[in-house]
Amino acid sequence: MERRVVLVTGGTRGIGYAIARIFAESGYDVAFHGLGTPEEIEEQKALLRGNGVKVEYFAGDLLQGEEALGLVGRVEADFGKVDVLVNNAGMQYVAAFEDHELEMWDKVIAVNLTASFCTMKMAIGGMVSRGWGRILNIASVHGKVGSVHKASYVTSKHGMLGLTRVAALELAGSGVTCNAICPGWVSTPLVWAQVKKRSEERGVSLDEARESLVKEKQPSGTMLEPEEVAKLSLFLCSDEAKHFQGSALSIDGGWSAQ
Amino acid sequence: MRDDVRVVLITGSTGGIGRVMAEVFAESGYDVALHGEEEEAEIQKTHLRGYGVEVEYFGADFRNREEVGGLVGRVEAEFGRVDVLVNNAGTQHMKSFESFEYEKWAEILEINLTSSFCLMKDVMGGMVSRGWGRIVNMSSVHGLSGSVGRAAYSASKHGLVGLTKVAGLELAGTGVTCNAICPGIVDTPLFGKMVSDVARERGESEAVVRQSWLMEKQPSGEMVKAEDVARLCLYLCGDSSCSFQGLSFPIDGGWLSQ
Repeated sequence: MERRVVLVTGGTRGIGYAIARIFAESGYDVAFHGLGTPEEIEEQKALLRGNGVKVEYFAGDLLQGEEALGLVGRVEADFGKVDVLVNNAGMQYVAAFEDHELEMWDKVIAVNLTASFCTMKMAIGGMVSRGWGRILNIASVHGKVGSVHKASYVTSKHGMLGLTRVAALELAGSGVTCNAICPGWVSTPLVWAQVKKRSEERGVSLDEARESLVKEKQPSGTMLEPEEVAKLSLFLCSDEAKHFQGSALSIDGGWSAQ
Repeated sequence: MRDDVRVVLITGSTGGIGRVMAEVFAESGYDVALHGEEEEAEIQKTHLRGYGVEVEYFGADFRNREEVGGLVGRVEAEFGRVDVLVNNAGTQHMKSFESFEYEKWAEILEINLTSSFCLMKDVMGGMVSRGWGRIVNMSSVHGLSGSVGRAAYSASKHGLVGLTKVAGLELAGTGVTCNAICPGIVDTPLFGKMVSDVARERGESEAVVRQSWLMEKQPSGEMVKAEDVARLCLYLCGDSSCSFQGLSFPIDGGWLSQ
């Protein structure tokens, strides 16, 4: 049977790389995109290829609408199709509302929200024509709740849920589903950067900073591992999950239950 | 410029829901800064001044960042301050996800979302320094749910819901609140235009299109009155509403209860 092809943006680090790895291990061909040095990317490609699947890397600056719009086509030209699209690429920017720079707002919206619109727009046609597809938008607990100093991030993640719901309703019944995953604190560079910042600002150890950061919001008290989000993603791509449509699945140690 | 009278800036207040809001606020004794299409602004100003309040009109094209950036300063120069900001200006464009034009996506995000962010940023400092203020963001049922054909609109309105939460949290305890209103189908020219566009496309009568939409989505089977939306907004600006913070209030004839 022909293997399914997954495209994961921001797939060189954090949650994205875990998704690339878990999908490769499960027999998917993998197209991964994201930031990284040539050496890092070659290493990742080799590791992923060790699963006996086709793996290619695609660069692309998601701050540029044209590049975001062009990404899916480039993957389709190489792999023939995109069966699973994982919009995972995301950036964080923390600043009080009055200091929240418009330039940074634009970047966060571009990468976290507009790029997802672009890839979804370009992937839908092929998926519908083949009668099967999965779109996974890696949003955030911040697609459901707010936190101080995250105006652009929270806005973009809420926006992703809007995109998810609209796409889901347009795709309903076509064999293609679109869902969002809303993780809490996950052990990734994006989160560790915030731990480091807290440790510097408060003059405490990284360990203390991590503990206070996590416990403040996530009742479980510990960070998720990226693999947990990857496994949920894999499940949503199964045939058993075909009636998950437009849902926003929290995986957040109790954060949004508070 | 009067110390004992509150000043409200309502964007998009020369038509639609905004125009009705301007009337309701003027009737309640607010000085009103109008914004929107200029055509009937003079007539509107004269009419509203009949309530014994000060009213001025300020033009600004929300596709132009410089104009957005200058708006609050101009209002403050005229009135001395902005006590209430109602981010009401918004635009709509319906297209299937695959066909949704990137330029339209960008325009909708700019007008519906980024402009609101910029104006909020510009008014907050003054409101906090005076220990009183109200920001009301006009979201939509589509800020909390999806419908087909509304990729950009729903993303922008969901974004506003998120932005509102963050502002609410950052303003908590300052005497300034930020909340959103999420109307369903309201009797406005914007909705009228959506109906006539679709009626033309489908070769159906406008009455048939309007009724079918109402019956499909809004259990009450009736359009929400613009005046009711305006009165909800006015209520949120009252002193007794000081504990509403970061919330999104549907007014939707049962839409979101389904």
